Amino acid sequence: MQRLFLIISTAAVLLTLPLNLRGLEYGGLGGRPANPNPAIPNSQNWFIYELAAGTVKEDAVIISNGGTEPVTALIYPADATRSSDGGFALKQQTETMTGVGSWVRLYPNDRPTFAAGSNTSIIEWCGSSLDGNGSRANRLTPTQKLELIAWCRGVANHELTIEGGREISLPFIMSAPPGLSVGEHTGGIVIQKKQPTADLTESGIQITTRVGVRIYQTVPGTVKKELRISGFNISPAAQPGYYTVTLSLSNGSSVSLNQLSRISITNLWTRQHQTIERPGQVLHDDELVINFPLKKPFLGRLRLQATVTYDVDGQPQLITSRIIHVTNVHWSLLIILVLVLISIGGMLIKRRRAHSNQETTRYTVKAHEDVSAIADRFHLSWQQLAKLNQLKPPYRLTPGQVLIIPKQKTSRTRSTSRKNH
Amino acid sequence: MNKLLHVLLWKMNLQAVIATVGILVLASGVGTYVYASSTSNFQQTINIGTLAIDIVDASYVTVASPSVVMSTATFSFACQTITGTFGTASQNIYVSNPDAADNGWTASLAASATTAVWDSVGTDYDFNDNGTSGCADSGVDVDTLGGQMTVDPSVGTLAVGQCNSCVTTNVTKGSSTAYVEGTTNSITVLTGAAASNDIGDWKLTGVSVSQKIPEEQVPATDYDINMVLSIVAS
Repeated sequence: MQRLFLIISTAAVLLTLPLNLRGLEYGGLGGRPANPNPAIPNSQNWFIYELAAGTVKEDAVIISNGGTEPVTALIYPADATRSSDGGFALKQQTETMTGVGSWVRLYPNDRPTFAAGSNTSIIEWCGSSLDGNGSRANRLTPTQKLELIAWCRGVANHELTIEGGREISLPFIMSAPPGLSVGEHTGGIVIQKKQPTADLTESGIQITTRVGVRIYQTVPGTVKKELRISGFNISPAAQPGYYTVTLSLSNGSSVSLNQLSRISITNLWTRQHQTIERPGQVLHDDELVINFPLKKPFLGRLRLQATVTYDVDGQPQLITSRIIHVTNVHWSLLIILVLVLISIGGMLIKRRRAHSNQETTRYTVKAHEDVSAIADRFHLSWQQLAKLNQLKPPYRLTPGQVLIIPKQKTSRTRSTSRKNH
Repeated sequence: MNKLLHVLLWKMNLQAVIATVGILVLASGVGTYVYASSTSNFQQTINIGTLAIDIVDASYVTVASPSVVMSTATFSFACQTITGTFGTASQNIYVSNPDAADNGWTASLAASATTAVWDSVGTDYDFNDNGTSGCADSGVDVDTLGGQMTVDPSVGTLAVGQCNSCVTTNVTKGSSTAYVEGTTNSITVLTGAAASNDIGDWKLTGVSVSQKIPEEQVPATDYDINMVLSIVAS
């Protein structure tokens, strides 16, 4: 009976635990630096090194599986690359690494048996050139040294399976090659999920996910920080009703620069104003192209200018772009405008035709005749006569002046005069 | 009832009863006792998590083999476009930042290789060739295949994930961009600015994917391509 109660109580405790653990929610595959330095900001997220050319540093990356199921992951270092809209990204494993991605070697395998259990660093065993000539190597037999040399090379990538809720620390060596230029060199360590091949019955895309942990390696020295606007344009976007405003920023310096781009847009016809902001980082020796979607106005002439702010040693720097203008009239307004123009044109043509159909004759002004007398004679108003002959105030006529008289009026005058006779 | 209790107590060791009751009370959380002491010091540590990106279902369970199914096309003598949707109700693009990337983050989509192609047995077409508006080989890259893929995250729907107090403010969807080998190998899907929630999770659905297929492309039912969705802390 006593055993029964113990079993029940233990079961109750075990049943209660999962209820508490639900608060953990989602936990994916991730990574972070194993040895963050509290004195260095962001070192809990990034590997931040300041290695002189020709030196090495030993570190480790923590790979965690916050889920409940085991996950197989591929770990590899990669060079930095630029994503669209200026995002920071890392190269794919299939690409050739020439920078940070080629300077990191992983040490997932156990040390040789003669070095097992030793707390001595990899560098001490292998030497700064990782050729197996470290301070401990002198005590080894030739066979042991060969084994050590092979191990000291490390590996370029490593596949491992992590149980749910577990973390693994993976040591690596970061080398700053001899002759490395002063300034910043960026890359990262990638933790990529290895997924089973999707069984696609239709044409499709198979998706794999990965997480990158950045590496910022800076070779100490004097660096010039300078950002310039290398392009500022506007063009119709693929999406109907939108423009694409393109701002290109060139960073000719040897360090990445954080910037805030601000596009100021004013509709000169409606006086409406808006600002689009986009913070981001421009990698060293790189050009960042940022595309801003901008909705076309119903009617207006837009004035656009970009301003970019960045920081140089605590001093804010401001650069501005050229001003560009673009006029937009919505298609429906254009159609209305065209219809109005067609209508006006049609009316004018009709009137001209009516005028051209109306035959005229000429009348020579005699002495003592004025406009109203001649108008009365031809059954016209004096205004009609003046308008037809483009007479200006005070409407004086001179004898011998020739006036244009509508023929129908003259005919009517003739017929009237015949009747009177 | 009293008789039953009496029998049970009689059958049991008194210490076992006290221990069992104590365990049950502690386990159920019904009662909490703090013993006053001048040296009492309760400490708790909650470690920060790691930034993660995944494809999850509606219950936030990882999808084992995520994919984007494209519309079907019929053989044509002209260049044509197929479309698909990246991020659906059953395959959400999911970003989780459990206080791991306070400076923000960037999520991007790239092919597993810049030389990747839509692959079928004996016939392929490209995903990053901008020749003739994506319909033909430009001659710039190493292959002789035409075809170009455009990803438009801006038409997608961004929502907060499981975090009740989080907002989508300062999380930006990427703009419509086409892959061009050597120029645009990676397309930004989502960006979390430094001012976005330090602790938060977001899901994105409805990202438009369109692919130009060159004229007279050989019919096959198994054209596929491998792509990688990445996230890096800013």
